[in-house]
Order: sequence, then structure tokens, then C-alpha cells
Amino acid sequence: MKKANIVFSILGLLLSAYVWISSADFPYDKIMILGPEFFPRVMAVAMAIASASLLGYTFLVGVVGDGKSISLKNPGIRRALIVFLAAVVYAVLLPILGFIIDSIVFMLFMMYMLQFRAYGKMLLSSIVTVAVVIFAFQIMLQIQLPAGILDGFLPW
Amino acid sequence: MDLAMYLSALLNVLQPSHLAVVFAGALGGILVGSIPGLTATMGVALLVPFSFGMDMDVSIGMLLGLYCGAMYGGSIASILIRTPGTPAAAATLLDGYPLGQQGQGSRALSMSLWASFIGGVIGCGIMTFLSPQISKFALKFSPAEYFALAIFGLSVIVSISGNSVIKGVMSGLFGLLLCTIGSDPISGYPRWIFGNMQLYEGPPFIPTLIGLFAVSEILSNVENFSADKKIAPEKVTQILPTVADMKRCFSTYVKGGIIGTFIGSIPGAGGDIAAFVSYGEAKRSSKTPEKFGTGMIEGVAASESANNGCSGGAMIPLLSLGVPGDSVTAILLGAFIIHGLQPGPLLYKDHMDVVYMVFASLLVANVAMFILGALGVRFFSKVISMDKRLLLPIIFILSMTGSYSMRNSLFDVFLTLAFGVVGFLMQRYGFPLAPILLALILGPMAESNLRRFLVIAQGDASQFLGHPIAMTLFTLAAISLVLALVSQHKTQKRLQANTDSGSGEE
Repeated sequence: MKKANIVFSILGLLLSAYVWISSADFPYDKIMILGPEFFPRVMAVAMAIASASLLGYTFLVGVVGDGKSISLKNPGIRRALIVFLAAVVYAVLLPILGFIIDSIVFMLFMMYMLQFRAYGKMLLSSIVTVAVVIFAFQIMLQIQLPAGILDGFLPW
Repeated sequence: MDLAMYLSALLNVLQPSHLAVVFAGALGGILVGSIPGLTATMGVALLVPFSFGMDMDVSIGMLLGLYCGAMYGGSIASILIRTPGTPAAAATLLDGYPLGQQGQGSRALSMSLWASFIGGVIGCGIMTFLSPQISKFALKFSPAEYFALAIFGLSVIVSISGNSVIKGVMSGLFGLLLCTIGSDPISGYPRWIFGNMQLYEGPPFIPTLIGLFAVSEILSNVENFSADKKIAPEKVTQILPTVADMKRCFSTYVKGGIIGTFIGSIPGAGGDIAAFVSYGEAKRSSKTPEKFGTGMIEGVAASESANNGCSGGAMIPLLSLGVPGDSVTAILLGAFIIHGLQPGPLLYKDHMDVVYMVFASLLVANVAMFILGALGVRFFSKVISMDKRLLLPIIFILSMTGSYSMRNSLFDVFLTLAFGVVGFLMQRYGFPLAPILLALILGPMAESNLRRFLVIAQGDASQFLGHPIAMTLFTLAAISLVLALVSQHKTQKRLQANTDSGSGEE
């Protein structure tokens, strides 16, 4: 946890520095006096103080707050990482495969990752979920969801 | 107040055909509100064209039913899946979700419903009797007062920081820095959008929220998943809170209703801000503030009564001044105009019948929301005990659809996933997410009004002293900050003492 606090403190300090330096390019406003850089810079200074405090506390007093470390040796973390990567693939394929196919495939994969093996139930719940979402969003509220490869085949 | 006229309007609203439309609106509102990504504003906007062919009193009743229903509906998703259905229900998840995870989902849902109803009725009552007076006071809010209100709301950050104030403050500042992405509120200069116009209005609120809270929770659940670990199906024995809970939270939801009505009456300050201010007040006045965030029923009562109180409050400037209090009342203003009426001072002079009809409709809309919500508690609370292997993928698809549907944007889906990882890592390392939520809600209000004030005052901050309302709010913020720090210190000491005595006994 000590290491994590140090890393987050350094990230906080770097973020503050980035905000301060990059906002120097913002245009100066003669009329308004205070330009677009004013508020971000105030926040950046506050963030730098808070980050430095966390760093100082961690070194001087010890661990601040609670938390758990992350290790790829942990099977739970590996599972979460695989599901997250699958979610990114889901988002990339959404315009290509379309909402219906992409969502059903993703749901089946996620259920499989969660050790569900009742294939009939898996398929049924995926199809029902997608149907309910299509009904609520696409048909009732007229919100267009990506049709993908099914474009032209769908009745709406 | 003409009681005879009010009763006549009430009787008109209670006609079966009229009543059916109000109930239909409230049901639609609960459904819209409970689906992440669909807001009360969107629901009312979608319904306005349908109301065009109806009589004005019927159409206004339906729209108000939807408004009230959606304000309550937002809490359902907050409690069940840790995703606020509407921004106004963001504060509800802080204690509602932990209650659900402790097998007390129906307790949280019934309190949310009861507090929403009481808050709504308080808002409605205040609107009926004090509209002109409150609207005059609300108009005294200049940028200085708005900024002070935002600071007062942000002072809650310390008390919702969990075990570490520094980490809570860092989370809040991270949220405030996120708010600075996008166009500058005064000059329109694009800040840190890296050429991506989708970021011009800043990180979109709902996708950010869904990522931070829902996706991070899904990832955390996937990580800690065990096929044997299940939340025991809850036996729902009642659809209303117990008398003990009602008594326990009485002052909380009454105060919440009043806070909500007042904040709702200030143009531009909506249910999300009201809910957080009320939550902060409930925590401040609690004897066990350290338990907030772990599943305190008062937390649910405070936020829900305030956001529903807002519905009455937001109608005050709309009816008496013609100025909408929030985005929903802005659309309602359009509905009035469609029917040939211009809300404002003349409405009170020339069309008192319409004013009383709105008062009566809002009261009936709250009752409709209450009845339909009560019927649904048994059904909603079953969601929590669903098999997680089925529930998590369903929540994921709903979250992605909710993010996408706000702007029909794939960018928002990626943003949601990115914030999901940020939320997962922050929680993992003990950085609370609630301060980010608060900062995202109050940050834009704080920045734009501070800048406006300083421009008007030509950079002279001492001019705040000439604004008594702002100074009162600053003082309250300072007091609450000090009290929260003292209480945090005491709690830490108590916990430390308990740990020491525990290890001593061993």
C-alpha cells in the first residue's frame, strides 16, 4: 500500500505540473482579466498540495487509508482483466457486428467467464436482455442502436 | 390561497380519465428513471409531442407524473446496481447500494419511496403556499451566491472521504480537474480536448458516472466472484418502511424536502445538488456520521426527499416568474407555451385556475408515484438476489447502452470503459469515488460563477463581503468542514482505541 500511495502522489504531482504548464498556452483575456487557465491552475495547486501531503504522510507517519494491491498472480484480477479486454473488443466491434449480435456474444462470453455452464439459460437470458433493450431504447424511445451487419435486415 | 378553487382543481384531476393519464405518466417516469442513461429530462421531452393533442390540464398532469416518477425511479438503479438512473439519484447510491448488498434492498427501496413521497409532498405544499415569496428570494442569487452554494456543497467532500481525508480531497480535486476539460464557461476556449469535439462540452456526465460506479463495480464483482457466494434471497415482508425507520428518519426527510424545495427554486440548481446538500446535512447532524456510506438508511432518506422536493421547488420560479428552475421545467415551459399560456406573474393574475391545476396535479402525481412505487418494491428487490452470473452481464449491457444512448456516440462507450478502470483502480487503492461524483456535479457551477463574480467585481474578491447570503453559505461551509474534520479525527481515535484494546485482549 505504501508503494501505491507513493505512485498516486507522484501521479497527482505530475498531473498538477501538466495542468499548470499546458494552461500557460491558453489565451490571455484582456477584458475578462481572468482567463480560462484561472480555475484549472487553482485546482492544480490544490492537487499538488494534497499529493505532497499524501507523500509526506506516507513517508513520515506510515500508510494512509486502506486498499489492496493488484497482482496478476491473483486469478480474480486475471479474470477481471480478461472481462475488461473483452469489453474493449465489444466496444470496437459494436459498429461492425451491430448491437444485437455483439451484445449476445459478449453476454455469453462473460457468463462463461463467470463459470456459468447452463447453455440454454445463457442463450435465453442474452436474447431476452437484448430484446428488452431494443424494445425500450430503439422501438419505444427511437434511440438508434448500431445495426452493423444486420443493417437492412431489421424491421425498424 | 383560494381553498375552494384548489379543491375544484383537485376534483378535476381526480376524474378517472385524468387520473389514468397521471398514473401512466408516473409509471413511464419510474421506468425511464430506473434505466441508466435515460433521464427525467429526456422522458419529459419525449412525451411533450404526445401531449400536444390533449387538453392542457391532462397533458400537464401526465408530464408532472413522469417528472415525479423519474425522480424516484432513479434511486432504483442506484440501490440495485450502483448506477444512478438519473443524476439526481447519484447521492442515493452512497448508502442505498451498501444496504442492498447487506440483504436490505427492500428496506432501502421502501425508504427511498417513502422519502421521495414525503419530499415531493413537502415541495408541493411549499410551492402551493409560498411560491411568490420564495421566487423573490431565489432571484437574489447572483454569481456570488451560486459560487457560495457550490462551495457549501463541496464542503461535504471531507465527510464522504471515508478513512482518509487526504485521499478524499485528492479524489475531489481530480473530479474538479475533470470538469475543466472542454469549453471554458466564460470565453468558450476549448481546454484539453486534443482536437476531439466530443469533449467540447467536457466529459459527458452519465457515461462518466456509469464508468466510475457501474463498470468499476462489475470489474470488482468479476474479480471477487465466487460461484458459491450469493446474496440470500430477501423475504420482502413489507413495501413501506417500518414505523421504527420512519421515526428514525423523520427529521431527515422533512429537512431533505425543505432543502430540496429551496434549492430547486433556485434557477440552475437541480435535484443532484439538492440531494448532496441534504445528504451532507444529514451526515453533519447524525450522531454516527462515520457510518454514512456503509449503509445508513438516513443517507437514502436525505437524498431522495431532497431530489423529489426539488420537483415542487423547480415549479416555483417557472410559475411565478416564467423562469425554469431546471431542465425538466424548461421543457414544461415549452408545454405551457404550446397550449397558449405564458407562465410568469400574469399567470397568477389571469389564470389562477391553471396555477391551482398545476398544484393539484403535482400532488396527485406524487401520490401516483407512491402507489406505483409501492407495488414495485417487491419486484425490484428481487433483482439483488439474482444469480450474479446472469446479473453482471445484464448490468454491463445496460450500462453500455445507457452510455451510448446519451449522444449516440461510440466515443462515450470507450470513455465509460476508461472511467471504469480509473474507478476500479482508485477504489482498489483506497481513493473514494463519492468526492469525484460531487465534484462533477458542483465543479462547473463553482467555476463559472466564481469567474463571473470576479469579472463583475474586477478581480476584487473582498466584494464577497457585500453578499450576506453568500457569506452565510461560506460560514456554514467552514463550520461543516471543521465539524467534519473533528468528527473524522474522533472516529479515527475511537477505531484506533478499539483496535488497540482488541489486540490487547488477544
